[in-house]
Amino acid sequence: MAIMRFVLWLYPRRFRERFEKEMLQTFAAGDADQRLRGMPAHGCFLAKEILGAVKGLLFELASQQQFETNAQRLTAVALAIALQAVLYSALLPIGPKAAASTGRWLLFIGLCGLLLAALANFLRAIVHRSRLNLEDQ
Amino acid sequence: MRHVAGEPIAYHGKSLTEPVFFILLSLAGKPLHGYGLMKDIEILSKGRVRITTGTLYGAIKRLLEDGSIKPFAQEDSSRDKQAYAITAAGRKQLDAEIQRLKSMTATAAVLLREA
Repeated sequence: MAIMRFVLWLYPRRFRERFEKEMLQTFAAGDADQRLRGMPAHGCFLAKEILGAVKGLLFELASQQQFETNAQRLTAVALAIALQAVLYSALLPIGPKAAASTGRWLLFIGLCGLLLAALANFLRAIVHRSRLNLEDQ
Repeated sequence: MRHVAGEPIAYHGKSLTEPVFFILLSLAGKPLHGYGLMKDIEILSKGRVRITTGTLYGAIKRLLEDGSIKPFAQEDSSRDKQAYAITAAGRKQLDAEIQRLKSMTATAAVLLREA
């Protein structure tokens, strides 16, 4: 539950205000149900739920393209570094060189994505401001 | 793209994702809350589709935004769970998707018979 709460805390504020309570209730109901099915099923459920919540978080952030607080920004960077480390370890069996090279490429693609998102946000802000100016006039 | 003569293409709209399709299908029966939806979808899909809380509420948010579902006020207000119900627009979307799937399977059946 604590991990789920933490992942939900990273969601955009508006989404959290609307769905956090419901999501925690739904998760708790599922958790109680799966606990009765034994440890392997419960463990599987928890892993799927947390991955699903992280996936949902990434989707929400991608659709909003913003973090609201510095703590969220720092956590997102830490999460990205952790994911990079996990990816590197997962790729190690194909060789350290190939793993490092693939990791670098993925990092590069990720950074390009972030830059494009920032640029899109910047352009959107300019368009928004010019619209407001036109309305004022 | 090959078109099979005599098979009308009934639907040209955007297809629904599998979780969204099952959410609408599940709500077409009766209004449900989050966990009820998750369980119902598992039963409807015979255990093939198991959606997580994150996926479910992401889809619910988008369906609420485009007016396909709406919050449903339960008579028993002591139950603190928010239920959702399908709207007329959501039902139309679901019918259109079913038509699209029927059209696809009909096309596939004709093609496989020809082959």
